Amino acid sequence: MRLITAAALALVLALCVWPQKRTAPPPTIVFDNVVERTGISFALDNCVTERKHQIETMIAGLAVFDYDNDGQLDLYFVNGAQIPQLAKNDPRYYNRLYRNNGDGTFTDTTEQAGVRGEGFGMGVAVADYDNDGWQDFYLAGVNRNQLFHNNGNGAFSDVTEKAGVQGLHSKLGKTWAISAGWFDYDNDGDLDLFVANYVNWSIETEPVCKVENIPAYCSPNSYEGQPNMLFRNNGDGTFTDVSEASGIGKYTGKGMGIAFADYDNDGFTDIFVSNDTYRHFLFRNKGNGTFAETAILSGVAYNENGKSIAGMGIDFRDVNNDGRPDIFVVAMIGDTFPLFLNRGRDFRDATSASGVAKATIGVTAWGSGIVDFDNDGFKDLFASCAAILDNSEQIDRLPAELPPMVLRNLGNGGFSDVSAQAGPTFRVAARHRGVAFGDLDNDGRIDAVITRQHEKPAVFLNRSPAPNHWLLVNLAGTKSNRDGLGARIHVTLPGGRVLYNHASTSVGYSASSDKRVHFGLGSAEVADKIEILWPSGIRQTLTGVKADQVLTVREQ
Amino acid sequence: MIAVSVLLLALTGQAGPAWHEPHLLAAKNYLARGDSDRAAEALEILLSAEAGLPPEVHLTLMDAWLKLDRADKAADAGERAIKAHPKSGPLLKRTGHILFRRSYTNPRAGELLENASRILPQDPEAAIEAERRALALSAGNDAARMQICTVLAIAHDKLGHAKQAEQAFAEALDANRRLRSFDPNAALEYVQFLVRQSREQEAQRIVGEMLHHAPQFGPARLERAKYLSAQGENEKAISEALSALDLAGDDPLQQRAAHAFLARTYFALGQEEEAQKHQRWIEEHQK
Repeated sequence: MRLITAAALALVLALCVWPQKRTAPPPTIVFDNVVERTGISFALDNCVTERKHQIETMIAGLAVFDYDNDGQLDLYFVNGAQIPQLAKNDPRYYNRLYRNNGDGTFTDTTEQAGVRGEGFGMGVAVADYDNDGWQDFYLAGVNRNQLFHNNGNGAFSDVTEKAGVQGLHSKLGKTWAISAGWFDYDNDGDLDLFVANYVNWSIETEPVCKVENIPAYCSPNSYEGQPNMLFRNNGDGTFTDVSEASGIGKYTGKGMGIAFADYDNDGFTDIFVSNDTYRHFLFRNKGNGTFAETAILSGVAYNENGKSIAGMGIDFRDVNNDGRPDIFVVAMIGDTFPLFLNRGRDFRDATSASGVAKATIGVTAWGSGIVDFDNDGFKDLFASCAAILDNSEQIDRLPAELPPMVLRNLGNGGFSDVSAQAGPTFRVAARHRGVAFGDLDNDGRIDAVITRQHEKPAVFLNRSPAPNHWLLVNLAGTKSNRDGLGARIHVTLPGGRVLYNHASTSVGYSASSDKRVHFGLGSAEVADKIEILWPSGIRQTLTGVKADQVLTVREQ
Repeated sequence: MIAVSVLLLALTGQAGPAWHEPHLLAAKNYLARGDSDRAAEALEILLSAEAGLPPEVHLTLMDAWLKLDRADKAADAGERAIKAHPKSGPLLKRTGHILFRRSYTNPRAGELLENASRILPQDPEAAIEAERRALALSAGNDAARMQICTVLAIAHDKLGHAKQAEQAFAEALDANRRLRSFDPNAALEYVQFLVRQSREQEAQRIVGEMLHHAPQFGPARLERAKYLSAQGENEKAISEALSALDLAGDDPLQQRAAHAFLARTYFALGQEEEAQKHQRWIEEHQK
């Protein structure tokens, strides 16, 4: 009798399980963390202390860029420093540059390149600011920022002083910069620099915070915010601080992420800045060297319930292929991650209607991105997740380590959380921070690299199985800035479907992504038309472009 | 003054275990209307007559003082409440948080929060277990059932258990409907859950119910405004949001939410002057 019951039970179980197996949808977006095979040994060291200094938890930055122009994307990781000295007095605190060998491995070239950096770092922003064809980068950090000029011979020079971009505020002096970004706000052909500052902080005056007698990182409310800064590129290797003249410096927030796009289609690049527990800023470029802050009017200052959120990483790209850049912000557990859809001069909050709220109510994330991972022509959403408190198990009884998250764009206005099907290495929980994107192996599928506190980064190669086609557009400006940052690209597919993207390296939180502009083409083997609107105003059209290639386009 | 007189009269004739309920409800109505002064006054008189009233009365008084930006009074009220209910987790936790926010080095805050964590574990799993036990003990008490199910639902939602959250919210709503006085705050949690689930139509049915029972409840007006705006009915949305603003009283968060909605909706309609009026309010009141 017992045997019969057991057999019957087994049959029932089998019947229950069988249909699930048959109906389980095939994975659409798949990643594989290959860091152990890359030779990368960098481990993000924030010099964690018992005292819980605020700077420890905020460190995040990385860049995906091609510093030696060999067509392979290299990696740069920002690192911490000894506390309280804020000095990189041990190699464990050096920033690290890794050259892509083109065979799946990387070589540490930090010393040859001279880019170990100084002080307690935060973020990095990459661009060719002097239009010499070589990618330079700017480091945002605690009390000090640095500009590294790429000499074109594998080495960089620290030109911070000469360029005048130390980030010293006229009234506050030293600032705590979290992120920085490059864009051409005056369309003069050279890239200007935006720096997002966080809060007034010093090791001497930092408050001690405890929750139920357990030391904890303080709430941002314990600190005064700082204004952001804008530096105009003079075109001769120097910059002028135009924070006040441009109107940017008038607004004090707690800056975290920066992203650029021309949201109102007036030919001038606008700025979105996420703030931590403070309303976000949308700086509309008025085209005359000044900006108007329009986040409240445009409907992007708060979440759906009119609340300030702990805004962190952002991206500013078109998710619904209507030609208008939208905004995606990641935040803290309970906030949800706002998705603002651009209506031309203002935005509609689609967080709940799109399914993003449902997927994100219970998580905290730092980095973010709007990227078409399965090349189906619809950009998906990515979030690198982890709690803010490294002892949140003790304090909130919630995990400090979380797996990353990817939400697939269903193409009908909705998003579906496909993280659980994105591969076993993707589901690994860690103290994730910044994420940067680029096609590391040039297979047309965009990969993701995420920093993780106290351990090696995750190098997620995109193994999404769909045999979709793609294009990577590598812009070479002549009248516009050399990187073509700010250029807007429309791709028309056979049948008339139009895809839209624009060039920007400012993605996520403290991070810098590949400058090449990616398009997933779905089943289309050719793009009927590619139309590029350069920041200079030049409109360039290419027709009958074959798919599955890195297409270099020189402005003419 | 009339309210105070009525309250004193009522206090002289107190009878039965729930004699305080009408006064508590009156105080909550004052709060919902933004009249926190009157709510605090009424509750102080109530508690001076009988300090042993349930923790909810003390918690409401603390809310009233906080809304009046009087954290000192809220902390005093909390300490008095703890004397009456030394093992109340919510009182310990709320008072601890108030003291902590006033001074993060206050050892008393640490002590209270530590006690609260023992009595009222913070983790959603433990909260669910604790609330389930409480629920089993509260059969027949709809007010308790409504509150407990709401807490359960919020905890489940935080853990990503949408089905369990839904079930608990639905039970809370059923219990809420059986109460003599519908609690719009509990129903609002359910509404916001449904909105996050992209189930706006269902959410709006509950908003309708909230407005039927508590037409002066501003947050329901704002939920209705958001829905109308999403439907493209911006004029009606503005009318609802203006009501929400009127009803927000001196609650700065409700005020800001209404102003933010009005600023962006007027802007979308091209009425920039009106939009900027609301933007200015936010900028002037931004902390």
